[in-house]
This record gives sequence, structure tokens and C-alpha cells, in this order.
Amino acid sequence: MVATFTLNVDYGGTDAAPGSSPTWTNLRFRTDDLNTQDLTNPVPIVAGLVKYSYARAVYVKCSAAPDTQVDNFKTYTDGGGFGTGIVTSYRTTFPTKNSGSSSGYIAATGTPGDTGTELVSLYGGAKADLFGKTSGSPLTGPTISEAGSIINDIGETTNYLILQCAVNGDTAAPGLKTAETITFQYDEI
Amino acid sequence: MQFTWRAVYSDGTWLDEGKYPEIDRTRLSEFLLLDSEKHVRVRMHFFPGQKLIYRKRRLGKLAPATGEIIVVGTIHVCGFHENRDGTNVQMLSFLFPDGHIELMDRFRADKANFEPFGELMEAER
Repeated sequence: MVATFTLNVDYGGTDAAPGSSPTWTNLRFRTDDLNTQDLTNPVPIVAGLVKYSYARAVYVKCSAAPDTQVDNFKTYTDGGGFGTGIVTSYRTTFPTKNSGSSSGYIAATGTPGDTGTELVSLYGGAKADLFGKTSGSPLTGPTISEAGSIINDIGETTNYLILQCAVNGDTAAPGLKTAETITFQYDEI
Repeated sequence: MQFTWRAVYSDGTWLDEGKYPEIDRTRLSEFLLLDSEKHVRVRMHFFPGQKLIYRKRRLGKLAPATGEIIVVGTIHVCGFHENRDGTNVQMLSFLFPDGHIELMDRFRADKANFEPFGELMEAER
């Protein structure tokens, strides 16, 4: 059987105990810890400042199991991005998330309507530009912390991929941005 | 194009695509990739000491409206590795969705499609 997957987002709740875990449809970077598909609380453009979206804790979740296993996730983009002054960052290591634990989850914080807490301040570690990861230089991950470091059953997941948008008030242009595509590559047998 | 595998044994019997770990590697003679009309697109011959490795490398795009990761292509990566005079030697075949094939004697880390596998299964080591 061919494995199928969704991209999910954990938000709300408290550290290690997210409040909601829906599939991440029409994903948006907002300045609140909600997943609402509307235009409230966008990331503002303020001269002289960099404003952040709330950090998003996303993961890949299995919705139909493979014959044997899936592993070796790679993530990459077309290298485009959302334009001048907007940087979409990812945390370079992947906090623990699996079918039995959300121990790596940290509830996103910030000031609603203004800015989120910068992701390295929130999670520690380091970050890099997601749109710097292309097919010629893919991101190795998100990693897997299910048994055997493989996914072989419905409901199993990757670890968290932490994402955040930063908006430079001196260079970013206002308005809705064209949607970008993320490619997930993985090995199945 | 859709492809499936077939493991052919030394006695002429075979095992069609199913549970990959159930391939009897002690009797494996050939590993085939077949198209939907059962035509052979790749035939890999095995000699003693050569160990089969195989993965379907899925390329998935996020469908924004549903959150589903839609498979837009599959690269079938099959090959073998063996220890030859203390050196690990590989031969790899990459069968792409359009039917073309690329051959290499090693994985390469500078292109996502040709990246190494994750951890090998016990039977593959």
C-alpha cells in the first residue's frame, strides 16, 4: 500500500502539551498562536524594526501506512521566497514529536498583532533560511523519533519542523504574498 | 508511469511486489522493475556477495487547501553493494517517472534525488 501523509501544526496549549493538532491547511504566518484562515493579526511592517510571526511547530503525519517503512525525509523549496525583506527561517534541529509524545513542543509566545518571540529565543539552537534549501542542497529532515527511526503505521509522525517568518520594516513591501511550495522527499518500501 | 518490482530467484520462481523484507536474498538472481504492461525497464543481475538495496523515493508537494502531501513523482532506486577487497562497492539505478534511467556507482549529496538512503535494513547490510 502506498503511504500517505499530511502536514500538521501543533499550536496553543502549554509546553509539551499542544492544545490543537490540525492539518495545516492554507498555512499562514500570523502574530498570534492561532490557526485561523483569515487576515487578522498579520505580521506588521514597522520602519526600523524586524517583526516576527509566531513560531509554527509543524510535522508530517502518516494517514495511510506503507507496506514496510518510510524514512529519510528531505525538505526543499524552489529558492524563491516571499520577496525582499521577508525571511522564512527553520530551526536547524528538530524537537521531539512522535505518536506518543510532544515533548519537544514549546508554546509560541509574543505580543498578538505585533510580533512573535524569535524562534532561537524560544527554542534555542540555531536557524537558517528555508528558501536557501533547494533540490541541490536539501534540508535533511524533519527527522523521525518513532521506534526504529522509521514511520510504519497510521498516526506516526516526524519530529517538529519549526518555522517562522521575519519581516524587515525597512525593506519589506505590504500586501498578500504569492503562495510558495514546499517539497517533501522521502524513501518508502 | 507506474513501476513495480519483481525478485527472481535462481530456480526461476519469483516474488512480485509486496513485502520487501520477504525477498529471499540467499536465492536472489535478478531484481526487475516492470512497467504497468509488465515490460522490463530495469534488470539488475546479482552475484554472490552482492546485497540488494531498493527504495521508492517519493516527491511530495503540499496541497495547501487540504494539508495533504501529494506524491507528484516516484524515483525507483535499486542497486547493490558489496565488499570487494575491503572496499564497499555500489551500483545504483535511478528509474525516473518519465521512464529514463540514470546509473551511478555511488550516492551523491549535492542533489536531493541522488541522496543516500537512511539506515539500511538488517537484510540489506
